[in-house]
Amino acid sequence: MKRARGWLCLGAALLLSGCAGYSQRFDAIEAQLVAGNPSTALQVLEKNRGNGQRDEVLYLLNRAMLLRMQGEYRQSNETLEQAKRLIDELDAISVREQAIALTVNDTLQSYIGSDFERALLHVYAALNYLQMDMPDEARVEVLQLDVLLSLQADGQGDTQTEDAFARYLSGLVFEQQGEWSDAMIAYRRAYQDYQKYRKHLGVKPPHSLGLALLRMAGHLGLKEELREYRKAFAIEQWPSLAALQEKGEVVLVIGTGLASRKREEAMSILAPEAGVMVRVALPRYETRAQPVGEVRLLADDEMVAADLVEDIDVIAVKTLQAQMPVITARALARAVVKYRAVREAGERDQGLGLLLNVAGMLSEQADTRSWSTLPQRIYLARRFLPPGRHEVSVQLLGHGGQVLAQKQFTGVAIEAGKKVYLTWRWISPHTRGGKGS
Amino acid sequence: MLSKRMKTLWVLLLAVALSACATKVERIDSEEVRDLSGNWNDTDSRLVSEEMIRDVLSRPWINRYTRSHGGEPPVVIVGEVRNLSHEHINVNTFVADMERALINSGNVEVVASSTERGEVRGERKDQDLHSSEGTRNVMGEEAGADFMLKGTINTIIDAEGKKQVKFYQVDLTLISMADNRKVWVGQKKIKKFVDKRSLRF
Repeated sequence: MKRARGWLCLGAALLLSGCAGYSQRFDAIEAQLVAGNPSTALQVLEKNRGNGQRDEVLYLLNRAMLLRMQGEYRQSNETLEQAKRLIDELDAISVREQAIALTVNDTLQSYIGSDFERALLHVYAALNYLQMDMPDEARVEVLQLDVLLSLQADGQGDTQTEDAFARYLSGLVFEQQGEWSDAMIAYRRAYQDYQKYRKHLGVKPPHSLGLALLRMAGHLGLKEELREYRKAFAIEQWPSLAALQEKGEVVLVIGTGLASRKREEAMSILAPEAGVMVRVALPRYETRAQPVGEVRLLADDEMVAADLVEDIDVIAVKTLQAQMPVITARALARAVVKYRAVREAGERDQGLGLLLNVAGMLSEQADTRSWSTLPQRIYLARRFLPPGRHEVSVQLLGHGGQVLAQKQFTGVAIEAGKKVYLTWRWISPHTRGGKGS
Repeated sequence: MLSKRMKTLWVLLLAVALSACATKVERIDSEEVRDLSGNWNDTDSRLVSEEMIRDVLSRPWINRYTRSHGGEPPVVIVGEVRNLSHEHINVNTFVADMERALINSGNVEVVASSTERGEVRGERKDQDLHSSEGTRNVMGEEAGADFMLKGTINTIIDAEGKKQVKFYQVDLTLISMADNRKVWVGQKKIKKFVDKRSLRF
């Protein structure tokens, strides 16, 4: 009798743990973002905070992104700092959470973000600082990023691609500080990473990176590399560093869309000899349509095409693919554990066995958590301009060349030798949940 | 008998559980070293500023200056200490420590930094309009600095897995405003080994 009560308690605990998946809870926030109300989205996020520590990092990341969308860069960075500290704390393996993940489901583990999300955390912190014209603080983020990327690359071999945009942005920060050799090193690593991007993700090295590499290589007198980059980027003429000293630069960072979300794909099988239902739930990405074909920056009646610098959707899908063997193995191990428990209970008391079976089925959930407020893609455009006030505008074009959206930045103040960062996040009003991949 | 013992056990358990929930505050001496995360903290800031000041005040540049200027102490302005490290370090406490020690030594005079000056000038302008003749401070009588103290905080981090060696180097330079000559260079290094835990409950 006593033991039966124990089983019941366990069953109840299992039942309680099976609430709506993260991905579903995010629907309301997404609806607000699509409608163009990031502040309401933030309110919804605050209201649905829930789940204590294990989803806290995710909450902080989403909160930081929503604050950034509203131009609250300082608060956004405070939140990102909190996220950083918490990730640091939770990075240690929890014995208890591992045990629960093997018996109940994966969502009961604390979320600390995948490698690319953790790199993007620093990227966005740096962008926030640059937006606030605090290049020294952005430099701190870039240095932290360097440590993180080196740790992530450790022992991963050649298949692992570093975050190329993170390296590119590091180069920008060093260049702004006049640290030419550091800028050269960062640009060079970005170039190496973009070559991997081209191979694995279909993102080619940005044209503006080619210009930056040529500028730095020319200044540092690296003749061999200069020749290589000239050929690789097919650039014949470029302004030298000395020629640009009198000018300032506009750097436009555009995020488009909303990152694809993970959905659950579950399979239930009846084990006939025991009369036990077994359920296995796994996450998969639903990629969304990508409406933007081209991004243009117009300044002083001259047009520059923005480069695609990061395709977050593709990276996310690749990352999950790489994790799938481990996730699947854990799900199968869990199915075995639950099956055994149900059979054992059923042998003693049929009703109890059934109850436990239902509980086990309900609690089996795929981990669909991801930093869902990230954009699908990041575009970057750079343009050198003479000092003074300028009218800058951006156009997003669809695949057929039609204008999807545009934005005007009036009276952008350019100072010689300085960079001004402009940002825009565009989410299509027609964004919908994606199709399976 | 058993139930009694169980009851005590329960009370004990409850007490332990409750004590874990309450926020605990313990006062510690500001000199006490307590490292939590391995990041730059108050102890580092204090150690560096103390050593730097001891060094800067014991070097020959002060005597050389006072001798050539008829016993007048040099006037110093504390410029920017740039944070070029891996951490968002609050350099203000560090700069304040330096300023305090310089002024209190009595061998050096310190003038207000450029941000502080703005406020003082505003007040002086106000005095010009509203204060009585005898108490008014006129403009154009500010003391110009003879030397500027500038510096950087740099770090080198070597990390592998959960282990990190952090190396901080703080460089300070005292530059003569008259001819850009560097009259003193101070350096302090701090090295830490941080081993993060790899398991938690």
